[in-house]
Amino acid sequence: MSNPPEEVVKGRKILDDLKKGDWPNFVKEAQKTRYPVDLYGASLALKRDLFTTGGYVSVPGAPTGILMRVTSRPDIGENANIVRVLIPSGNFVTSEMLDKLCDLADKYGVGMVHAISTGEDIEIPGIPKEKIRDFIAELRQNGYECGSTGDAFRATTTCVGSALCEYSNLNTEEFRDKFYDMYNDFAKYPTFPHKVKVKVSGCPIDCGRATQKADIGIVGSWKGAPEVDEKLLKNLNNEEIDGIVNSCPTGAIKRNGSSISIKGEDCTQCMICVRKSKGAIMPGKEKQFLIYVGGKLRGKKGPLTGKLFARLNSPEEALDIINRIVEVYIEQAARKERIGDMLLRVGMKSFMDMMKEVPRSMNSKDLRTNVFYAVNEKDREEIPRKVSKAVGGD
Amino acid sequence: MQEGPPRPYTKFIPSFIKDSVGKWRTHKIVEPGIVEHVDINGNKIYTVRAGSTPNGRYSTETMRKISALARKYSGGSMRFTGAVNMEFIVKDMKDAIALKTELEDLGFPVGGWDGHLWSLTSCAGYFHCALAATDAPSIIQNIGNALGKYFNKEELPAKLTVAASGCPSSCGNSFLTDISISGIHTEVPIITPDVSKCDLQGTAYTCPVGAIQIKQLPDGSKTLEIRNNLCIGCGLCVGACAGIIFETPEKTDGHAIAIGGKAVPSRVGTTLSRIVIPYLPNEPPYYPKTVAAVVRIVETWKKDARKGERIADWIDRIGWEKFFEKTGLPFFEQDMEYLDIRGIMTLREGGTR
Repeated sequence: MSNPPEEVVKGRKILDDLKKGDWPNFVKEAQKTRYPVDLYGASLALKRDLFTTGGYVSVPGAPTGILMRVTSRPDIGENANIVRVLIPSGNFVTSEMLDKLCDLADKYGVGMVHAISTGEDIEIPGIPKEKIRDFIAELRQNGYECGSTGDAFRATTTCVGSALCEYSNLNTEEFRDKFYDMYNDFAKYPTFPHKVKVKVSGCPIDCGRATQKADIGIVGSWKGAPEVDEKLLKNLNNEEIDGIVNSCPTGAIKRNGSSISIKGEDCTQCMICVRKSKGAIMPGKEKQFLIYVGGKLRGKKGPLTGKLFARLNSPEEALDIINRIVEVYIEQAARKERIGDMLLRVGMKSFMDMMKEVPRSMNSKDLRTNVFYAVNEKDREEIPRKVSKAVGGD
Repeated sequence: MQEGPPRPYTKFIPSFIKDSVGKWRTHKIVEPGIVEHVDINGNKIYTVRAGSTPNGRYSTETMRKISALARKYSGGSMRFTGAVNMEFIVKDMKDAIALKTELEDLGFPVGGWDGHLWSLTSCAGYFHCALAATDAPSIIQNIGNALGKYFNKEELPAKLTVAASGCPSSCGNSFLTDISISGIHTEVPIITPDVSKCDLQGTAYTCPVGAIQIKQLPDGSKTLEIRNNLCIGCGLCVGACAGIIFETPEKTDGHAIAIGGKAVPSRVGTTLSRIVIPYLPNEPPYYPKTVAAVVRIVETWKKDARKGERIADWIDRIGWEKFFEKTGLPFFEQDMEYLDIRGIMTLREGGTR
């Protein structure tokens, strides 16, 4: 091009400035590829987005996994459609897989690989519309699959779990493999009112962000007090043991000379002591699995954290409950309403009523502050009776 | 052919940890970015963590080099973490040091864990997204340049994570991290004649505040109308319908800074970030105000917090008033209503429907 538009010239200057600094540089990486860097530079110069969504490509057997990105300035840079590739459990990838994806990115895309997106899948950007079909066909020949867009189960993600972590109460990778054995149709075909994210963490430290970001979050935990290993406890010095005892937020830990005792009924499984103990205190033997619902970032009512919904005794029950949650969700939610938004509308009690067969327990961390509650005829009779049965006053 | 992601996971983990899965016993941090794991039989392995480009995008040339490193040192397997870092599992400390040198030669710093910067994440921003109000990758690039020393050289009181998203959809994990930057639109979108191609009912429904109404024109055709006084500028309708656009984003779009999000249940528990600066303009390439504000918050926290206190814990101890006093940031009354909602929002139990 002999005479590039003004914004491209300005954009190139901005990109040169962006290449300074020590942190791994994305502009330098992009310039090694065939990605339309000028378009990106121009959007920085104009301070507005130059991509739009739009277009549709029908690929047999791939209802999810394709994101269409159309340029609004074809004179500067071309379209950059993206295909999302599902990653193996625990985010482990082999060199073989990476090399194959690089080959495919060179052949069909712009020679760029996005590893890893914050939704935890690998994306191959810059595939022209007419090549998407061939790309997906070749991807599948190699045993990989695209997915994780649209109103379906988005990529289910896990923390590293038992593969590398001693705190894990749940083999998160195995759990995710089983999840896809059971629910692949829900992940592949968009059948929900809006997207559903399932995230799995092996312990309450929650590296998988199951309590923050997931519509349905599963957290491996245990009941009662954590286990104390007397032998490893001897490696700790006086101050370290004092530090452990004092850091317990509920005061459940008592010190007896050089050993400690933990009162199970006071323990909230926050794992502060476990993390400080260098292996001397470990999660308890009797496991429980916590289900959180309604966490989200996007959506109508803004970001919400998940709410503890059920405590279960086995991972199999957790897999089973996912099905029942999405059944209620499909039935009750309005269009483009995330589970968290739906819960705000229908309320937790109604949701639990709809779920049936869920072990009812007091899961609420916060109680409500408003009094606007539809106390019906049955409640007017039942609530006072229950109160007077408990405290007297008849 | 097997549907869904490749399974089972055992085909993808390094062969030398297969026997130790589920049998790990302890771990300790040897140095920033290198962790030693010991299983119940005393076998030792090391994990090496390296930072990545802000938006996780690599050229195939670089990716092939990374893949070759995995083949050379970690049994042909590696992992990408949810916080967009790379992790390699190696058999001994000698390999770990050698791998660290090679990664640093490639330009990827080895660090993280304990009292360090753990992750810098961003969404696609202008790079690939159609809805961005701000360019998250270039902001994170600048913050990475400014805070990179905390990744492996200097220590912080506790873990620090930073994320930026181009719009309130928060695809870049903002609101989950200690310091979150979120793009915002500050103007009311306008309706163009193209709106007739959209699903009017569906578009009207996407509005969280009910500001969009369907209006009948004299000729009988239908269009949409936005009530300006109700609009909060979330941009959901712009995403739903190509006929609704922001007219002058270059003048009005910007980003907000929020702090104090974390997932760990200890201390104050799982929380989302709270907004401390409601609006800053987009100023590529250096975003001087944004970077200065983030650096000020981090430096103040570093100086004032006790060991082990994340930003949320620190603010819980000193209170928001002291926070604004100590950092010298101005307090904006627009943010007040958000400051008292802690963590899990109280759901309306048994609502009226």
